[in-house]
Amino acid sequence: MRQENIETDIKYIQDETLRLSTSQPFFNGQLKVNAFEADYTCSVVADRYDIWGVFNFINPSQILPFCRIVPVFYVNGVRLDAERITQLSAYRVKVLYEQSQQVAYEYRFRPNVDLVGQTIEIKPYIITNDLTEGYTINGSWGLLR
Amino acid sequence: MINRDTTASVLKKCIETLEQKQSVQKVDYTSIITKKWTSQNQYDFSVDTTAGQIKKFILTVNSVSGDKMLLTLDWWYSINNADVINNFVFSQGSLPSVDVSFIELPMSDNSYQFSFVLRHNQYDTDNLTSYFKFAFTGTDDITWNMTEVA
Repeated sequence: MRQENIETDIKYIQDETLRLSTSQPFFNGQLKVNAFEADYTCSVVADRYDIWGVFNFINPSQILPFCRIVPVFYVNGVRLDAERITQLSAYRVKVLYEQSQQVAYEYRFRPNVDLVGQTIEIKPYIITNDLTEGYTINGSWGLLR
Repeated sequence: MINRDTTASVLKKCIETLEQKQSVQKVDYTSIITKKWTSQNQYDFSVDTTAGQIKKFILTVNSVSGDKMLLTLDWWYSINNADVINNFVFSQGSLPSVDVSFIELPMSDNSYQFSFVLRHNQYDTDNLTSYFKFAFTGTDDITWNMTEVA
């Protein structure tokens, strides 16, 4: 093994160790978590079909965040609970490590028949360790005909 | 140029630091979601219902630290059989005698909240017991409670 390779490797290990030792601690409640309802709304007019949608969380900090996105449903400003809509599935479908630091979730929900014809507003509730500002949220929702 | 003594010294310090971080932060493979809660019981919560009855519950999950945490919930339920994991009701398929609706709600006072609604089919006149089993995975130790709401 050549001496300069060893020096490079040692430097790399040293730098990585320093980076880890100064990183955010995440044991027992030490992880700083930001949770908030985003100022973004999708809407869908309910029919006798399941509804399907995606939400994207795009982080500009170049560090992939841990992120969960919970859809919150409103009709005429009143939040729905499981009595009027039920979750059938929720999957994390996209994590782009190298490109735009993006997390996306895909969902399927079943509204009650009493919501047919009413506009359901859907807002993303974000739970993340990304404390930076300037994130972007977008999404798309529709009926599963 | 790095001599042998310096190399050993740097590596030793790096290893000590990494071991300390792994020990304290409980790094488990590549995930920080390393705190897991499941009980040894066949079920964690049960609800009795009669024909046509609707019951609503809020599952609240608190971190022991009192701070916000990352958390995921897995849950299953079974009807008239306490061995939930081996007899759970599938979420899609024919409508069971007791159908359970579920959504996650926004946090309240740093606690996770999940809404459950049980609907006992009005044509099934037997008194039934629904059994629930929970599994929590997150970044903190947790406590939970299931509260019936009007």
